[in-house]
Amino acid sequence: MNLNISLSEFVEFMAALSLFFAILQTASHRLDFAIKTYTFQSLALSITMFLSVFYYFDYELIISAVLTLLIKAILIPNVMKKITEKIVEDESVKPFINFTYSILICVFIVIFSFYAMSNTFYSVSSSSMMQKILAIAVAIIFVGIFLMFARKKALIQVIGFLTLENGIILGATSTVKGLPLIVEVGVFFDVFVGAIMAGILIFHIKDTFDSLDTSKLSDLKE
Amino acid sequence: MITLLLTELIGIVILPFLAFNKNRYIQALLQFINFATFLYLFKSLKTNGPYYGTYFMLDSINLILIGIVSTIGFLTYLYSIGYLEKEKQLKETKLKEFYFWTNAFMFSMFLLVITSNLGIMWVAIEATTLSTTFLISFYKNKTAVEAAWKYIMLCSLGIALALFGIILIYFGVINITGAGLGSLNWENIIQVATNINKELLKISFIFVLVGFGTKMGLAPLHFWLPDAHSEAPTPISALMSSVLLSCSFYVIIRIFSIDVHAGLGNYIYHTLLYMGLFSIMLAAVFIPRSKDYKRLLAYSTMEHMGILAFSVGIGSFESLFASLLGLIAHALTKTLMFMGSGSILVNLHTKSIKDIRGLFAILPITAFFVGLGVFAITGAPPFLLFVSEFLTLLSAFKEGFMWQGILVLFGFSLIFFGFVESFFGMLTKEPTFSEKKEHVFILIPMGILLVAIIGFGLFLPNDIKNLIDSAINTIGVKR
Repeated sequence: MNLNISLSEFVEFMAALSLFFAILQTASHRLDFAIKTYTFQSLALSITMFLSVFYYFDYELIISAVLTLLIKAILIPNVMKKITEKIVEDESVKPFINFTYSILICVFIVIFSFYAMSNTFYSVSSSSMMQKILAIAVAIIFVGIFLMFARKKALIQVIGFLTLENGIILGATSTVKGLPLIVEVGVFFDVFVGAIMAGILIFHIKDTFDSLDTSKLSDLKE
Repeated sequence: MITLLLTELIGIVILPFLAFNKNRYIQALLQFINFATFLYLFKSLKTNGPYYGTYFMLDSINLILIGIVSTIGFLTYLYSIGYLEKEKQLKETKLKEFYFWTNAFMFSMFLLVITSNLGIMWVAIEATTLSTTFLISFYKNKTAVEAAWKYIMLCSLGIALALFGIILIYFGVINITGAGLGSLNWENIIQVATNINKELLKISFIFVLVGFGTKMGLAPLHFWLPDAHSEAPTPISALMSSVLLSCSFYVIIRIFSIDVHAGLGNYIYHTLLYMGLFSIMLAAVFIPRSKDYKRLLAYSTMEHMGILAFSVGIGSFESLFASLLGLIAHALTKTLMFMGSGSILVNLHTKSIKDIRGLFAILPITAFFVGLGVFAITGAPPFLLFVSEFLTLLSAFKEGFMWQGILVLFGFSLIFFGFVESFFGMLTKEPTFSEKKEHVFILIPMGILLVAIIGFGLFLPNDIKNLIDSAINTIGVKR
């Protein structure tokens, strides 16, 4: 049993690491740094999923973990990198909320998530590890949403969405031991295509607006 | 049922091999096969009863949706023949791109309505978001790119939250039946609905409503809707407004039905009711102020989605009937109006209401259709939407939602005056353009739709009535 306990602690640690990288995102102001952070975050997520296999003894999770590694830690970052190489980054876009306040807000998000999950899921979750990871997952989801709204740069908003998606997958791993395989593959496919399409759209934004600043997208108003 | 998916795939595969001129007729023909398949499924449901499989299902709720998707799809493809003929400046590759994404869009919508699995439903609805993004940014100008960006970001965010809601439902179900694909099957979930943890379902309903509500354009989450609808090529605006939003509503109905069977009570009804009410009121504020007729129609879409949510929120048998009938009526009427506005746009190349005067002299037949359409869409008798809106109000008063009903009535009248003021300004007075030639393929689908909404409004066939009745029994009525 001793092994099991240390294993679960390690799984928790990896999940916490991906939350750490998600929060680190909010402090990133350069695109290549943001992409690297996202890569590490996905890597931590994939290790979490892989180790959960030995905890739950559910072997479908191996496939999900490998898919996460392939798509989120290798494919998507590479596509993003290709896109940013073609876009010359010449401007510094001021975020809606500056970096210091962002970190503070993230701290509140984490505290809130742990508080909310400890009350709500006490009756339904079976293990304490599950509960802790779910709280981490919810925190990652909120940090992702925060990134989407607090940053003006189009690419960082996409990374915010991908972070949010990572949080949901982590939540699915901890609560339901991963979705059924066919659904999970569908979700991966959608996220992958979505990320590429958002990337192409960023090209069009750069072309038509000559900037990556989404606050300049304001022609459509009543 | 697989035919529905196959035709779309064939449509994508043949695209590169055929010249565009032949291609558009073949695409319309393929959609006609889908329409015929719908009629066949209608008959088979009547004789064989509902079917629930591992991957697909067929019952009265999704038959209504299959009907809407295939009918509107067929008419829109027919309309596109004429519409794209007028868009002569576009390159051949661009036109093929149009058909590629439209077929992908139709494919994901058919997958969405025939699948029995909530997970696959989610995958399909995210696929609709992705396949329409490049259709919205089709013209590649500033406003189109902006609308597409808002659309993909907001809808992906919303739908991701909905996935979390679905995961929570799955979590509740596997505590009873164990993990596996079957535990996401709608029919299986309904059977164990009473045993699922209620707290879990309540949280999941909020996530699902926020998520799919974004896609449906319910009030606080509607920001993408007017932009996307006004920027997309008009056949796509018609498809999005009348079919895509109905599909999102369909997913909400499916999950709503689980919660009804689980006995969550007033909580879910009131959430839907007030969200619907808010949407109607917001639309009523924006419609009289709109300067762009496609935006005006987009706000009217919001109003209709609000009415659907409002009448589901009332929860009685009549109000659910009104809601499902309203779904059909909205699809037919809104498509007619968007087709009319498309005919105006493609001939006059302006979306501004005040630049267009005297349509009766410029485009006489379109003007005739649009003129009648204005009454149809604002819910005047003898059109189909009148029946639905009247039943909604009646059941609201009957179930004791007095002030809510009065507010909705007030909203309806504001919207009516907004519509009449904008559109009759466009139709009458001195013409600002010379007379233009109307394409016959633009007029045929509009004629069919007009006949349908007047015909069904005066005399609703028993088959449709029975279909809606049995759909309501499947969903479940408030206890």
